[in-house]
Amino acid sequence: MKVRRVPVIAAITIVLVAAASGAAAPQTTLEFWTISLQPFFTDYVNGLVAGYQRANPGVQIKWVDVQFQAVEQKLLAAVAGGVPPDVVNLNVEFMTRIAERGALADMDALVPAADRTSYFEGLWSSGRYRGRTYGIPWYIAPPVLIYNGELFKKAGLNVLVPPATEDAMIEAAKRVKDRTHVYGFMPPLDGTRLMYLFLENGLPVLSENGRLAVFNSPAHVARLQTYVDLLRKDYFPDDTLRRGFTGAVERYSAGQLGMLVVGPQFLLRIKESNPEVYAKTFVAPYPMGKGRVIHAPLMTLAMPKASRHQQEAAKFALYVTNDENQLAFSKLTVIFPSTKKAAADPYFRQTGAGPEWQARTIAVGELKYGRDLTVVVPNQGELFKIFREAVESAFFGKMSAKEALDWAVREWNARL
Amino acid sequence: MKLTAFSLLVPLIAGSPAVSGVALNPIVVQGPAGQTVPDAFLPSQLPVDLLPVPKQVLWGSGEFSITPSTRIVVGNSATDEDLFAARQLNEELRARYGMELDVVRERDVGDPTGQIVMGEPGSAALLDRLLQQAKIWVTAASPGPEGYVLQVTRRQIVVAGLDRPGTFYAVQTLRQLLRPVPSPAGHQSGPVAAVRVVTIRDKPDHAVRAVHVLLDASSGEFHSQLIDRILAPYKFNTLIVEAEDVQWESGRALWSPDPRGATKAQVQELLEVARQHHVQVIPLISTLGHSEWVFAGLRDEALCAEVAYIPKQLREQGRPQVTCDRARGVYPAVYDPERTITVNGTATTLNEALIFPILKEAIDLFRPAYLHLGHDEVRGPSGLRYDMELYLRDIVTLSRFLRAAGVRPMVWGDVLWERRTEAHAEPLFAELPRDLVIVPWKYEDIREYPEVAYFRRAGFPVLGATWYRLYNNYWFSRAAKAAGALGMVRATWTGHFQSQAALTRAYQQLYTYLSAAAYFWTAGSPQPDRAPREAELARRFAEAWNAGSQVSTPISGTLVDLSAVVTQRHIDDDGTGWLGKGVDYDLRALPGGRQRFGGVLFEILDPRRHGGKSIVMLKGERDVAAAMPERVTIPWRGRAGCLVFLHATLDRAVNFDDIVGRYTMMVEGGRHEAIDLRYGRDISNWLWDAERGIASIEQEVVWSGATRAGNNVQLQMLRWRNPSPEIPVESIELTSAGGRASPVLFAITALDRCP
Repeated sequence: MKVRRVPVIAAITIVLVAAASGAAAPQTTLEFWTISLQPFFTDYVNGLVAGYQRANPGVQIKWVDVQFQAVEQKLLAAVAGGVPPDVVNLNVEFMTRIAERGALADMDALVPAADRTSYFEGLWSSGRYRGRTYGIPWYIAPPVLIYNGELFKKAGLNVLVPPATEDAMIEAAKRVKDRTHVYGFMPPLDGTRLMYLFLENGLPVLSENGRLAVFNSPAHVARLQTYVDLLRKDYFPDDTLRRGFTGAVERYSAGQLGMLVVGPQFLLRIKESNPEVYAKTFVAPYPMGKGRVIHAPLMTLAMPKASRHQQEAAKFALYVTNDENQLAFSKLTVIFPSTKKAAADPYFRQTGAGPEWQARTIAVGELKYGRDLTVVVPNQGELFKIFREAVESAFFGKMSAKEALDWAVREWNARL
Repeated sequence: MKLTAFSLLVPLIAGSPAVSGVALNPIVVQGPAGQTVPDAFLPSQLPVDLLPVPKQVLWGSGEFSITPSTRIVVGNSATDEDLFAARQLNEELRARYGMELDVVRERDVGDPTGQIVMGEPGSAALLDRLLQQAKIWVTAASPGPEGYVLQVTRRQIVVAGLDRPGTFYAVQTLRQLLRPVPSPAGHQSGPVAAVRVVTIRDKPDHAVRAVHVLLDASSGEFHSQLIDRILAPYKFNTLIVEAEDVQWESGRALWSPDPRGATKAQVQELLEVARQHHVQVIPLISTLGHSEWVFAGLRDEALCAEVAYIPKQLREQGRPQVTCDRARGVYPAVYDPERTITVNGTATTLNEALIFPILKEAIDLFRPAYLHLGHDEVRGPSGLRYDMELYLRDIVTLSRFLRAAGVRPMVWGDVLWERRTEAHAEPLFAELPRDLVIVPWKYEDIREYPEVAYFRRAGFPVLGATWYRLYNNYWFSRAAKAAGALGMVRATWTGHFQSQAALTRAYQQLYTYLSAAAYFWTAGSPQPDRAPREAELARRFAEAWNAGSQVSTPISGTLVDLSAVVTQRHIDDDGTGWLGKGVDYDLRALPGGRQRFGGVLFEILDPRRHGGKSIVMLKGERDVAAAMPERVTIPWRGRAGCLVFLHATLDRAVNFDDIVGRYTMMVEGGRHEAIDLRYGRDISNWLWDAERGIASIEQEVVWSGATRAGNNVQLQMLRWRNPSPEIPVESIELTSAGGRASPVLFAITALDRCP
């Protein structure tokens, strides 16, 4: 979409004339929620908003940036209170849960077919619940391995030969801990992230028809047991399950973690939190499991069904996710656009210096393996809680790994 | 939204199938009325199951009978505070048995036979004599502070606490030991209640046994009732109250409190009730962490951005924009307590202008021994690290402020534990006062709690904080005891201004106070696998909360015959019954025939005797319910004071409180009475709700069992109280809203009157 620039003086004049004549110009205010884009992307979003308002004089955009942990609850409260935002940034897990409540607009119906084709089909369908799509794909961020070169050296590891597999990462983590007394890693096990690890290792969560849970095979149990043993031997900190990637980034930024497996966009936080650690940081491809697939979390833009401006909101969401704006966003941090044309831009084949360019190059290479692996099931809130409790029970000694997964499978199967 | 689903359905049901164009497939058949029985309801005779479990219990044979002539004997110099425990016992007797005992001084009693003698050794000669005769010693060494001895013989009851709280807790134990004695009609002077012969010696494992709550406008009444009916009777002795939303007068130049917060008068009311019940109240003002209350109350929104914590580098780069949106409740993650701000033209800091004045006002209001400063989950914007030096300095600064007022500081322990390496490396760590109470919180069912020992080694007193999970409370309390912690705290996270609503929306957070109470008093007992299940905790909480009189006589009624209207079976041998998932996932554990649940007799049909059917399953989204009727009419005719439905839903509703169906009672004369079935309140899933537990005090879970696969399953009871019991009911119509949580009825019993 071309943005028509309206001279500022002209815009002011229009407003003044309208005010003087007493005939207020019709105004639509769209409320746009993002997740944790301040302070790093403040200028970018302000620019987006200004551009849209210039091109659409009757529309005002009110931008609200919400913390990741708060967005689902605040959205549900806003919907229940009858004052929903018009466009809201959600990941697939949140989106599915809120779609199940019937609170989101059907994007297959709202977005014209011609516009839908500009997105990768696989990403468009990632936002699908019961056959309908409830979120316009925005960006994806395939994870990379970020590691502290100094700790690697102290542990006698070669910084130029990072671990290439999950098992190699575990061995490297043990070595870092044994030799430096600093934790080597905080594996992605919080919430339901063990499901991704299963899927990345070719271990299914559901049967092919989706009617049965199957994540308690000996191979699943062995995978979980590997990490249970690591925790028992203190190879990763006990707050790993509670704090997840937030805690991992915080610990890494403090120089208290050897390796970090997160989206490359977190490099910015490390850089801001601790430039010294950033200076020692190397980036490598995500240590892939046996399934040759990587969970690349997708961010979407959804629209609450109760929005009074659905058509306008859809137009704005298409604008935010258009080729031009996604490409500009991707240049600010290491993320990848959901539209085919933006993703084909030569920019993504360029190389540069520093961890961020390294990460961008690596992540480009990972794209062919990446997809959002969020398991979509009805009654997701309860099923995911059961899964989390099973994982916690195994880690915290309430049940063995086998007992925990058997229990969770039984509970899922009674509910699916 | 929840109403829409049903309102869409109602016109379809009300109209004829021809008009609506939807095949409703209603079932209306004539059938037998059912069996009349004299004992359709019997008062439950549950065994004595003391909670918390006392340290030493020696049961004897026989019992002590409480009659209207039994008296409560206190010391000659007993004060009003001493009499409070006696009043509590009388309240219990009045609520449950409709009687009160005279409270008399020992000088008015010649013979203690038939009496309840209570007090502390040294406070009453009669009590001392009885203890000496029984060779019972009540000393500071044993049972110790807050400890007691309760001796029940056939002759008298001796209630002896080492101190006033000890006597109070002995009375709480005695309340649990009371059992009704059915009295013949017309006899007013016979025994009303009885207590089995026993000697109990008891004391707490933890000096501080706390519940954490959030104060709001309901606090004066709701939290006072909570103390009176639940917390004190189950021997909690501390309330940690989130108090930042109290209607503080301080800091008004820049800030005002949320009007939904508690008034100072409500807090005073709460404090008085707490004092009477030997409960200390510790205010918690969330500083740094969870400081939304600061941002939300700032009068000038520009100040919001001024006080927001922005890491130094970002500020220098000129990227300080933060969202301050009061309408949305979206604020910066945390504030900077030391940053210079301008208020009314004067340069100051947030600590000087707001935090110190509120702390001072809180101290003046609560007069506490401790004040909790929060400081949990402190993170910068976008998850950036909060500066550790600033974090520690703030604790040191605020602690000094409290110390000047003679108050000890308290903080949550998560940041100091999770970032312990960084914290320890800061010189300020050594300056943290060693009387600072650190409260590490962990809410999962974790076996190990190394942070307790870590903080103890560093010289700090520790309170362990748990949430609602059983094993969490059991293991954490044991770990805290082993490490010599000061005590335990049970957190309540129901959201701000939702305290009272928790009863009907987040009940699990409340009834599980009882298991926390058990482990905070006696850390090792009961073993979790022998602890009361949640349905039992919910029942006990509701009974104590409602504090109603117990019906002690049977009620006659009719077991309504459903055999002519059943549509499905609860046993699934071949994958076509119940859920359609076969023998592992059905309700074969439910015993058939006449079964008494919650005191009510029900007739559970055996599908083998009723054409392969036993339940009234209504239409729903699940495959097995798709072909079921949306509406079924039961042509039962008779008078009833109460109809009791035994039921469940086939699946979970999307939202709590969704209306999933309706029961309509057609009454002679063309009138009808309807009950909308609100999910989570009147009816709930047959499977244990892993997210919400028992979500509402209104739910009466009366049967629980397990599938062959091992899933915990349950049925609920719903009572409909007939407003005109003299007018016969002509039929009962069951309707489904057709969603995932479609209703399934197992039995109906009509009682001549409501228990």
